Amino acid sequence: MNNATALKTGLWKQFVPYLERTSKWWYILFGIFFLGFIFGLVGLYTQITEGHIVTGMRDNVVWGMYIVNFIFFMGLSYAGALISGVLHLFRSEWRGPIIRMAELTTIFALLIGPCFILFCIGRLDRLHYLIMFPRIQSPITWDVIAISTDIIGCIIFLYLSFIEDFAKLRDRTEARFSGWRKKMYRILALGYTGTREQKKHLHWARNVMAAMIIAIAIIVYSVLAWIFGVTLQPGWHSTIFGPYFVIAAVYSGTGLLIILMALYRKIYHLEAYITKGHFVKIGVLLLIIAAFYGYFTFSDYLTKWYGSAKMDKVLIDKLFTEFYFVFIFSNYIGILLPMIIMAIPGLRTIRNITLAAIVAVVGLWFNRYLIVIPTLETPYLPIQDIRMAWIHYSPTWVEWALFIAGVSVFSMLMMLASKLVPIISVSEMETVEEEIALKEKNVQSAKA
Amino acid sequence: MKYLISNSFSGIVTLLLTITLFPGFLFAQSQEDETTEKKSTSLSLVLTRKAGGDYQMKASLAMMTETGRTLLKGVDITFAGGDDLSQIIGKQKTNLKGSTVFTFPKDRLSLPNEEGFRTFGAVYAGCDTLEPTEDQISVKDLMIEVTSVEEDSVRSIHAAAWSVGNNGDKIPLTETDIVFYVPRMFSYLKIGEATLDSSGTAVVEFPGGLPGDETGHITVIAKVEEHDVFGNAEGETRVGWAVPARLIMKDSYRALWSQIAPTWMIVTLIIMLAGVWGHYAYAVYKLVKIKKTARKLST
Repeated sequence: MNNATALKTGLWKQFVPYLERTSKWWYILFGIFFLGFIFGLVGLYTQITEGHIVTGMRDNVVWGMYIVNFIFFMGLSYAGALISGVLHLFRSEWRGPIIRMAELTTIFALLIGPCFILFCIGRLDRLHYLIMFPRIQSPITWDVIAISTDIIGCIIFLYLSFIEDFAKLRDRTEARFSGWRKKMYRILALGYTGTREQKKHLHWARNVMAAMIIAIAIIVYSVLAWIFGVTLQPGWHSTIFGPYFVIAAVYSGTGLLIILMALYRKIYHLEAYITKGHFVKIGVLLLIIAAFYGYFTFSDYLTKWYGSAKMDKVLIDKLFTEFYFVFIFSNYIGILLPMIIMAIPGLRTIRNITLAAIVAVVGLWFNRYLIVIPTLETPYLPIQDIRMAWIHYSPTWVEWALFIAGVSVFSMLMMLASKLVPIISVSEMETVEEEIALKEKNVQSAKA
Repeated sequence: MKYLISNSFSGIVTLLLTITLFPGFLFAQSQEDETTEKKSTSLSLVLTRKAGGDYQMKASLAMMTETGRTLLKGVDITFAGGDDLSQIIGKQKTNLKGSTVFTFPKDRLSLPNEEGFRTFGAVYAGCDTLEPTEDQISVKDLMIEVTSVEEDSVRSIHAAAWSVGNNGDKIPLTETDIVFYVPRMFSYLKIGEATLDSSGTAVVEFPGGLPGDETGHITVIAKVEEHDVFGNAEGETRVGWAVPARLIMKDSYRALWSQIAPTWMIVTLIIMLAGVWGHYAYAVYKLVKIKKTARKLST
């Protein structure tokens, strides 16, 4: 039995029981997240019945936590797309156990993110105007086009990566899947049997989509950054925002991927497949991105501080006084701690790397908060006779409820996905093993 | 003897080292003697009678050294009038180029002497190291009247120059070159030159296309230069024949306000969307091919 076959057998043995049966703990955890989702629905109901007055948003801060969450989730999505695209395209040997998590993150975060825009919009009844009367010169229209294009692309890319596993699940006659599930696997497998011709078609389609997904991820997140960049607001009107947002997105996405790796490794006992080596490799990636992200952050604030434009100065003063601890956590601890952990080999344990990832993700959420809120609290033209309560923003329980709902839905979708297909792409693992075997064979024949 | 040689040798070495390393120490005394000698200075004065009747005095001060002239900056120059320069009118420091410009207002001018000459002077009082110096010029008042005439679409500038005789009569200045200028940012731009005729007048054609102020006005100066009796004298007038220098700033084109997006944006968007959706279509086409292959196999 060669490595690929052994691996395949081992993985199926490992995953099929999880796919066939659902444990009590799965239901409990799912129930907790479902409660979070219900909490969000209550918040949404309150907002719909009582209006946006139940949120912390007022005349000055018209974009609050909803937009922070939107940027945050979109960032996670683009990072997932970038990482999975790059890993696939460059045939990374360690991609096998983690590529599916990245792909799932991409699509689920992408589905949740835009929902926060809907929560933020005051006149949802006019939403269809965006489609009916689009103005190409409006950055909001760019975003609508970009996100819808991205969603379609990500769905195609994800589906392409699932086909082989759907076919394998369809062919596992010994597995005790329910009738609807067998039917679903049969339909989704598209009759794939792994013939040479089918493999060729799938290979080309995946390669093309992997390349596309990388380009789209960069463009789409840049478009999101430009919505801020083209706006004449202190702290936003910056040419650096496009690449800065992309780097920040990859940073948070890499962090989330590490967290998911740690969780799935623990829950599904995947120690044999997701090894410390995987954590170290992706952790080093986190270190490199942290360095770039830190550089962009410093560069952005340095130019604003040195330029000392009146309102930029006010904004920076505000960041270092009112938002001091958040700023320090987000832009110092959130960047430096992951770097320190990854830079010192002795500290590179799975637990530490996961801790670094959690700090990175939470730090980045606060970074988004600092980009949106303090700027809106520092307008160029103050509104006359405004009350202080309208200037200062603090999120209400409704906004927190919807944030918790967003996280809960993301977690539920990840849990559901892991019941539908193995969380480690078995076909990808086989492909990797085949690639390694082929490489070794080539090396041996070259030596001979 | 040996001792003497040894001592002499060490003395010579010491002397040579001292000369080589510290020559200033040995020759300090002689230099000190030299610095006590005052350096000679020179002051040159350029006088111009301006259009309104004020006299503008430009004084340049330099120190004469072995290598040439060194301009002296930040030095006080006293300006004075009267035959014996007894009427001190002001004091001004020289600039970085060693010169200073001082305007002698016409209401403070002293009366001319019997021959009709006025004397102006600039004086440098000197200091511990520099010798005092002065320069003075005596000139008669020369009036220049500049007028603009437009006949048959031909625009010309007329200048009439005259002095006033003892009995108050006008004495035209004749057979003298007169130069016409327009002031530009850093200096005068020459636009024409003519010779004053027997009636003391000269005419030049006004060139077209000269940029003026925002209303199209421009100052034209007629100047008699370095005349033996009258020195430099100017007259001026304002004409509205120049090209108005308006800073025309078109309203910046804001794409967001336009009815339709700019072409480049539409083209870019179409290219990008066509590229992306084309690849999507290719991927879907490949999926269809997979399905078709499966059908073939099953049949």
